[in-house]
Amino acid sequence: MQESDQSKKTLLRRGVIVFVGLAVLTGLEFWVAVGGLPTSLALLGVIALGKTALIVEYYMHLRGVFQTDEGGH
Amino acid sequence: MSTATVSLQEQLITRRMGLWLFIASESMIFVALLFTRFYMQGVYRPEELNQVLGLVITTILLVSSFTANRAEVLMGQGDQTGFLRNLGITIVLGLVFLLTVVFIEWPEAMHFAPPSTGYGTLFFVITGMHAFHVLTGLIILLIVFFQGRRGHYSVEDHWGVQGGVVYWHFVDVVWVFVYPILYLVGP
Repeated sequence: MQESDQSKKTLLRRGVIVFVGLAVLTGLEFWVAVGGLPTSLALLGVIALGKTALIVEYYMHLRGVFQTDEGGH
Repeated sequence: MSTATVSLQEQLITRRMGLWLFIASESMIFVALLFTRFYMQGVYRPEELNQVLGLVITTILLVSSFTANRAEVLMGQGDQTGFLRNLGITIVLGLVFLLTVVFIEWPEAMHFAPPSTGYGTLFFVITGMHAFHVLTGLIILLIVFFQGRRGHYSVEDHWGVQGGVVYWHFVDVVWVFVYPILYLVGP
């Protein structure tokens, strides 16, 4: 079934928001590393986990593995 | 809901499960390799390592994940042109990433090439293993692209697109850990 116009826009907008989030986190981890903060190892781990959560949830649709929607979103 | 539709959806769940089990098994390889980095070298990082180049190739892979997601969403909405355009951009970005690693990053990293340093061994094994996965991802996306051009996928059934794109995102997730662990960790 083809999705409604609103649903189309929502999915595309979500992709953009996730991308912006990933870009911000990537910039942040670079800044943390270059800044040489004492807690940088732990912070880098937290940031990497945050980026992974965004990708796995919104780009890889892990939660939708058992959904039976046609098209698979 | 017809029997045929139920069967298609059951197949879809089985395929997704299979792909995720494959991704889980592949992840174990990288988890082991990345832990080896700390076991063998602690948080040591050679000064010659180009962190900015690491950031550049990370950004390239990040943008390719964005366009891959767009390609999948647009296919799900029946926009064949948008799907092919975004998938094409994804393939080009993936190729740029791979060529940058092989022809710019690796020659620069020859300062600490194995067997002279333990870090060099880890660096080339981990980035080499990741580059191999990028290459296989590109082959998969190319197959999806050419099948898409032939009209192989529909709004109702485009598992090939979904599977290929999810694998590409997996390659990105691996780099999410490879980048800080190899390029950023360390004094």
